[in-house]
Amino acid sequence: MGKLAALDKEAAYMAYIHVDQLDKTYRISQRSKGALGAIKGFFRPNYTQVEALSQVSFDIAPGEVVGYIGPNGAGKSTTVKILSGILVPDGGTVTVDGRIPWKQRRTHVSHIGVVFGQRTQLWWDVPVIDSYELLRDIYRVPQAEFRRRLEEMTEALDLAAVLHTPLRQLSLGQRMRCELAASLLHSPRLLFLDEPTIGLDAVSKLAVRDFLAGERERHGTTIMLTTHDMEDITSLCSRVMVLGHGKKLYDGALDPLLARYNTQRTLTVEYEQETQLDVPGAERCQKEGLTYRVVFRPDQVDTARVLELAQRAGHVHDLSVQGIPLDEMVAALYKEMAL
Amino acid sequence: MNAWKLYFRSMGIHFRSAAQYKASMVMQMLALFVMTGTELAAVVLTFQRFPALGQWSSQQIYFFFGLMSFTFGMVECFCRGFTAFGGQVRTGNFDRLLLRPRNLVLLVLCAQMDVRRIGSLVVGVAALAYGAFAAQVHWTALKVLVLLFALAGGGCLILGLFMIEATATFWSISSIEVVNVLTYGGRSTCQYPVDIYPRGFRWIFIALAPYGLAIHLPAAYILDQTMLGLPAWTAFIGPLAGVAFLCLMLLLWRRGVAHYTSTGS
Amino acid sequence: MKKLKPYLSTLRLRAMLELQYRGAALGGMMTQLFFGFILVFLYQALYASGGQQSSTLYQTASYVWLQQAFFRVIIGSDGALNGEVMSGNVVYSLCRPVDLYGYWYMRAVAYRSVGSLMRALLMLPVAMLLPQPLGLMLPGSAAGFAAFMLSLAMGVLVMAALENIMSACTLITLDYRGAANMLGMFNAFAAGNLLPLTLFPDHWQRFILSTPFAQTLDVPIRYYTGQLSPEGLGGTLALQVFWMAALILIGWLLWRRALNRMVIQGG
Repeated sequence: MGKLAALDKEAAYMAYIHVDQLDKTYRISQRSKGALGAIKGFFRPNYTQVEALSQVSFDIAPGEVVGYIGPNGAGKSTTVKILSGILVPDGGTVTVDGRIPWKQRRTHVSHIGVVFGQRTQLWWDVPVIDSYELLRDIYRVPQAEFRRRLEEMTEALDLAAVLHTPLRQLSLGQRMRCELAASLLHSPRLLFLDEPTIGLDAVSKLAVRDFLAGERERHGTTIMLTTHDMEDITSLCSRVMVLGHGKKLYDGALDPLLARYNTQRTLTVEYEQETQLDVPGAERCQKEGLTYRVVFRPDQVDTARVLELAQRAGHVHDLSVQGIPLDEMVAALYKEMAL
Repeated sequence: MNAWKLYFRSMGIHFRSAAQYKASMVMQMLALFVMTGTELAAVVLTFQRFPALGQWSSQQIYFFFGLMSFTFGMVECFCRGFTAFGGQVRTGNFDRLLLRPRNLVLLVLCAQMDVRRIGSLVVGVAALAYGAFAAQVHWTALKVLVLLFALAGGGCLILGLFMIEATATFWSISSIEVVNVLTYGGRSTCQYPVDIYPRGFRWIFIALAPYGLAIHLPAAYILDQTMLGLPAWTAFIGPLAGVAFLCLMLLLWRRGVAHYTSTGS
Repeated sequence: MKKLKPYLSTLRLRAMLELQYRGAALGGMMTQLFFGFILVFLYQALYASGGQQSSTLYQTASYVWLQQAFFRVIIGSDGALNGEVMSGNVVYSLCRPVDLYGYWYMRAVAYRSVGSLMRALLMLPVAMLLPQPLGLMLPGSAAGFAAFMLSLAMGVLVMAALENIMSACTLITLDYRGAANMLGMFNAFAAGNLLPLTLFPDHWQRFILSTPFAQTLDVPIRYYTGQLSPEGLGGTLALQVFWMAALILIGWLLWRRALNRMVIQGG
């Protein structure tokens, strides 16, 4: 915890990632139809411009975990590509730990790790440990350091049983854990995660999140996470950035962002015996046996008032109030942004 | 040195991966063996009918055939990263390589291996060895050196030719047939010494894609013949043409990568 | 006629596909032209090196050009077809209300005939314009040309039957690259694409002319160059019909076996 506290203090005056007015436009060539069109296109190509990023700015402090969300095609992967040095932007400045990623690509990438949830960097047909040893050589990790790091990961990710098994024989969850270790073997200071929990079962998801939180705790790794799984965000990220049509639309905590979409509550109340519940101003009120389900909007009926009414109606056996599911709120957010 | 270690470790992994499917691997090696073998059979049959080819005896032609098949096969086997580069950009595999802190050319070379080609390498070596034996080559240290030069220079040249097509993919040019003419066409053409072809045609494989200089001059030296009226010492210089060609293509490759990272297309 | 309709549509579809990919066809043709030049130059050098030959350089050059122009009759295969076999999607074709072997046979015929015709029409005029011993000669006689055309049409049918045997092998081994490449290469060799069959040793010729591989392209070309005389057409046509029937029978049996196995294994 000591290291983190120090990092947080440092963050106050030093940004680890600094992005200022980032622009990136893709040119997509459009081929006219037919042979004549192909020839014409060769001499005077017909391009359409697509703004992938426009005036995006942000700072990320060391040790911060940032969720980067937005609908498909919002420019998330373009940002990650630029920050990892494999794409040159059209305008704006970027520094990561004082480096300009694309200018010093090879130095830069030795300090970062990237995980693509949908694609593996490990060899399919050989034992996982062989892939790790190759990565060790690629990143020039000294043997002693490699052994220490591997031991740490083996323990944290529970890999001991799978290290000597070919990747193709592992389950998706096991594979993802191996993948994480592979991306972190060279102890990167910065980690990009692209959908790290996609397709995983609940247990594996929790394991991945736990590990990431621990990694940050132990080493102060800065993490940037793009995902469609809001649970990833809520359990890991203190901060979220929302991107839409290449523009940054929001930067801050997740809760206040979603508050305005959390416009409905569902009260579920179960009574001991038959009773009559009436909530004036509620959207819906359903009865099912001894259980009532009341849907209401807090801006029209006070939640406290609803609870009071429910309690007064009879002997309550069990009661719960729920907001809108996270995914639905995000869907509402995206929908609004698309307009 | 670390680069070699990395390369050999990668090749080891590719080989072990392929060996996981033994039956398939053996079958495919056998297929390549038969394919190169039938090519050789066609050459052998040709000399059942014709006594010689220009100034060359049939045994000498086997030597040329073997040298070419072997060099080409080596490149196809161990530089598959480039010979089968198409699709790497589209699938995003190339992005993965950009995320590694190593020389890109090395990483591309490490990325793939074509184990099957061992089948055609066997035929190449056999033709080479038999040709040298039957043509009664008197081996000297210098001849061995020249042979190594030819393999290295020829390998560089062939790799360079394949790099043209690989580089073209950065500009989204999917396939350029012209390059096929120089790679696979060059392989077929230059299984025979370049001096048997008409003067105008020869220049394609002397000046444009210098198989004649990188492979044939050294082979002629080993076989104690002169070619194109050039003095014997040129056999030691010729392979440099292949190296120079590769260097040129490496420059082009770097421009391609720069273009790719700026457009991201 | 109504029964033939699905097969005829296959032919039409192929023709449309070929036209659509005419860019690729043009590129392929240039490559083929180049390979033709290499071979013709090679034979020129060989003929200049002495020895007694039963065929002239002009005949051999013509042989090479016809092989190059019609290479699609014997080389290459319908990629979509292989894809279907490899992915096991061929099973879906079982749902179609046509005989599967017949359907695929027609697809093979379409691929080989339409593709070749387009390329040949572009390439042969170029080859004819080349100077005397290196270019394509005019057919020996009108009768020879007619025999060539008839024999070539039969050759396509033989080749399609051969191809179906190869796809059946793929279907059984499920290893496209190994088996098919090997068979394809051997076929190219045995059909005279690497070395004209007319240049194989003289005492092999009798045997060579009786193999199914020679029936596809070699026998027709020999009519064109005058190395077979049109009087013998009846005999060679009979042999072609025999091989076609035999190969279709073998292929059909192999297909039935392969499909039965797939259905039992559930793909």
